[in-house]
Amino acid sequence: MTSQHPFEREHQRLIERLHEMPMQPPPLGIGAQVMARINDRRSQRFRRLARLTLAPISIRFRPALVGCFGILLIAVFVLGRYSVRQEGADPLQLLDAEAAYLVGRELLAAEKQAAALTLLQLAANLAPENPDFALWEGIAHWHNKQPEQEQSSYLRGLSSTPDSLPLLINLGHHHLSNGSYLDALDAYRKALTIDPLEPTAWYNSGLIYRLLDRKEEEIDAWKNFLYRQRFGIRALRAVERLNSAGDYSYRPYWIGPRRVIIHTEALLAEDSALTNLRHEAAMLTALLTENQELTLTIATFYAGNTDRARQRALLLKQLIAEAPGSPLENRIAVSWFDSPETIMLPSTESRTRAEGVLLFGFSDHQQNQEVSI
Amino acid sequence: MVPSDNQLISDVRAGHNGSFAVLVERYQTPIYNLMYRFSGSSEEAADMTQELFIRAYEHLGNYREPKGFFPWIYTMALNHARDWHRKRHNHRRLFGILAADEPQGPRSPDHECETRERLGDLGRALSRLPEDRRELLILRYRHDCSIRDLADMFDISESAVKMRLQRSLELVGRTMEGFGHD
Repeated sequence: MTSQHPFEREHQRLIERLHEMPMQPPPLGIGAQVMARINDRRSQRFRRLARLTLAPISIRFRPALVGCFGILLIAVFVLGRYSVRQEGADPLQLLDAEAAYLVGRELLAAEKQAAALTLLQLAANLAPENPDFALWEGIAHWHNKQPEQEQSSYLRGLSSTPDSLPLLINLGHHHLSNGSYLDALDAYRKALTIDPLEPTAWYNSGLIYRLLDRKEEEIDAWKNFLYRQRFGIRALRAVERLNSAGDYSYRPYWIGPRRVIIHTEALLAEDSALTNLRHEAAMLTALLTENQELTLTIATFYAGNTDRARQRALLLKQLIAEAPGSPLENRIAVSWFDSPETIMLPSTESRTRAEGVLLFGFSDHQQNQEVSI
Repeated sequence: MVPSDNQLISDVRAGHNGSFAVLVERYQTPIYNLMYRFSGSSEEAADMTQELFIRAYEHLGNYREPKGFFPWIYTMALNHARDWHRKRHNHRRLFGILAADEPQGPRSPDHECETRERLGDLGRALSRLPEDRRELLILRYRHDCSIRDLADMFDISESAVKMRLQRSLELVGRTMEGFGHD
């Protein structure tokens, strides 16, 4: 440890605890990935230079933003003309609800929160029945750290349009941020009656059930979320939480360079549920087709039943390869076991399952590994 | 003999890219942990760590030896983490339903839950400090940084570093007492 200053001697025990504070090990392969990307960038630099100097130049723009900017310019121009004609008149009174709303949205995007709130409030006052205006007025209140007014805006919008999904979702977020979990759940539940697969509502419901220690409902929420959304950080978090709750119906697998979430339950489903199985197989087919260097290994586990394990492994291979003799067939290896599958948990404990399936994919230029849950 | 950071950097500058992998290996743990403290997510922390090292590689020309590689890259990492945090916060709800996709704000139950599970009471007490104070404590007492280095990294005087360390220690100590620790 470095030499101590007088004030540090008073906190000796705390300093020792800080010194021994455990560090989380980073995921494996960060160094390899960094170096791969660095090498990739170096080789791309010359190509980029050639492209910059030889290729025609195109300018990209977002029509909606350009449109909004145009409206803003026109509004400023019109306001300027009116203000010259009508000295002393309040310029805000010259805007109609739609113009105030559009300008307010633009100001919000430009992070001028206070000015945006004034215009969005004006729009909401001029057209109180419009749910979009109420929604964005609420969002502007949130930006201005006015939670009570934020809630009022959403509730006012919902009184005229009770089935507005964005209003219900944002009301749920408001309650969640304030720690009013049951109110948040209520808002998300209403949102789910309008769109039963709305992923944000399911995800946040999962978080709340987790905090309330309502495990069955938590598991149900993660499964519903994963049914709709399999990619992105939230999906990975959801599947980790689902697995940590003891449910392995969805699991993450390293397939080549990607961590892919697969509906494991569907891979093991009886023949009557082949539609779901085909859907999962199609996803794996797409990964193999996309990356020609990828090879996939499938291992099935059926405790005490070799035949079943073998049949399932071959069926999965057949569905993923799409047709006998297809070029994909050579890139899929199968193995089967008549023993239960052992799943390693991060805590070094393990779980066994009578039926299970493992997938892992390798590509030539990528360092891969199977991930234990 | 283990090559020093500066030797490795000289190698990288001379075109031996492999030496940079040694630097990544050497410092990925503190950087990853820093990113994790800001993001509360192992996936995001891993992405942020990768981005940071790539950025460090690209800006290696700006590195000056007397400063030391760890303070240099940690300063860059702090800025990277702050930028990430600011962007994440600014985008929340800005686009209504789309941004509502990001419920993990600074006070989100998700973040609190993971912190509680993984870091224990000391982590919880640290997480109640402002970010700069928390990192100051960790750099000083976990990574044994000198007061001089900390003053450079946070762009404040040495006496300000000592003052902040003292106050932060007192605050963490009081918080820990509240959790039932002596």
